[in-house]
Amino acid sequence: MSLPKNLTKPWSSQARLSLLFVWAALTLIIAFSYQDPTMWSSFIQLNLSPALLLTDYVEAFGASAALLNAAVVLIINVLLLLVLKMQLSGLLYAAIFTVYGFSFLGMNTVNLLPIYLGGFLYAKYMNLDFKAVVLISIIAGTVGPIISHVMFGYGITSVFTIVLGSVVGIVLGFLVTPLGRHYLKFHDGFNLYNVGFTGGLIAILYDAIARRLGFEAVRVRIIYEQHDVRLLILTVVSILFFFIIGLLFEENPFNHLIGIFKSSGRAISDFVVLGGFHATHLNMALVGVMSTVLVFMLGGVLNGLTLSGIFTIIGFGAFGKHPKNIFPVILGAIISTVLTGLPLSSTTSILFILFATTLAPIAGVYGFGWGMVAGFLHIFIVNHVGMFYSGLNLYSNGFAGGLGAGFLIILISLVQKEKTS
Amino acid sequence: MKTRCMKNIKIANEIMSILTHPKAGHLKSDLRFRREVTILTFSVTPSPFNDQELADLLEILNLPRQMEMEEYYWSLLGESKSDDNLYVVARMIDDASASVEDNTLTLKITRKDA
Repeated sequence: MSLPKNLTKPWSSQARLSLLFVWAALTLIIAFSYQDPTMWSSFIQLNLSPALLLTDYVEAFGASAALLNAAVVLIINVLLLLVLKMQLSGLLYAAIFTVYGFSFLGMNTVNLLPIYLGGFLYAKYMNLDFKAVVLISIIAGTVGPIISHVMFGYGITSVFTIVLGSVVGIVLGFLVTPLGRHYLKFHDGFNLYNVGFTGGLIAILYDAIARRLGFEAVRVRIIYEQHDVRLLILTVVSILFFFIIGLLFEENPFNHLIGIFKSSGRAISDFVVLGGFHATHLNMALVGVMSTVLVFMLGGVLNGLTLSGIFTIIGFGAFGKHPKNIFPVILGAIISTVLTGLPLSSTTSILFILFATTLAPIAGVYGFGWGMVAGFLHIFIVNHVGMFYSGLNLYSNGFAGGLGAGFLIILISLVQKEKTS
Repeated sequence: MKTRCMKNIKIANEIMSILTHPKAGHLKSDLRFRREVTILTFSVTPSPFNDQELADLLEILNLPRQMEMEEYYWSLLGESKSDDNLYVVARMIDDASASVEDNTLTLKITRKDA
């Protein structure tokens, strides 16, 4: 359990955090390379859309507008973290990359900002520094569709619906930290996307009330199904960028990777602490390569959905996921998909397989076999849960993962007790 | 105040579960709530750790405190037997020190109010 020796030294966090602007610039360059005359108007439309799951922004508004949205969201978040002088952590990377990935699939500035304001008010209410809750507020964009849908989803958009949506967002942003903290206990930290589990429960409650009042949300399915070489360039260059950061500035980052691979992945597995800054970037690059290769091996394409999956996995490559603990879960999820007759190459199947890695800590703590069981079970659950909240929770896999993990950890403890006796 | 107490109790719970081992004959905990700091002291006989294990434990516990982890993840403490929770404890405390005398390990943890 030896840790990198430079851990106790002060971090130049601000400079390292600023590296993310390079990545934002890359995203912007690719967005502008389309020379799409409708990019800005599509970007505005994107921000004024209901954003229900599954709305692939690449298909609905064009790749250039989707990329512009991702870059804007990334820049706003990095600036926020710089202003707050945040310390680097695995959770910070998980938050930033998740929000970037989901900026291709439902998140935008309009539905994120009220949540941040709610988080800020919660911190004030609890006499805390905003730093204490801001990362969870960033990840809490999972409930973004509720906000956008109240604002723009019922065909009666007005100042009133926009104000109402903002108030709903602020309330949800206020509640998500205490609720999420409480729901962590349900699965004991074995579901990495706990905010998705929390968001699912919130969305079920909201949908039940809204339906009763006659405001029904209708699930959508807008998916880009073609190959786009620029999206491949974005993914490959991003991964190369993480490799370079990982390799260039430290003598033996591979030695520190061992510390990361030994981790179970269960919360809190902060790889920036366990392996250091550079080895963490190497691990992020490795899981990024794995997930990108997986998309193409299964016959999929890079679109808003698969990009959200890949970048979220890259982010959690700093906070719980590494090749050793995601592989068994992915394998179990693939077997489950095949055995249940679902098409492996469909975008939704690939998305579910990628996001099954939310259960990586089960493989990390209980071993390869239980990791496969977790992935296998996840596919059944995630194919079913969407109907509970009409696409109003973006991290559907986080909700499914919470249910699966909550069940499995009890089952595993019973089996292991049996073995012991 | 209630949250502060709950966090300290959960930290104590976690540390005691780590110090408890089959051969432990005597485990004592002492929590002192001062104005802006809580000092938690534990002593166990015999010590459950060899020198290297104790050094590793202190290295983890002396990782920098991090409020953004504490506020969300402290609820995980106290209900699991997993060593992973040591990292949660580490992110919630300011200092940890230890000494071994007559085969009794004394572990002292300092946690300032945020």
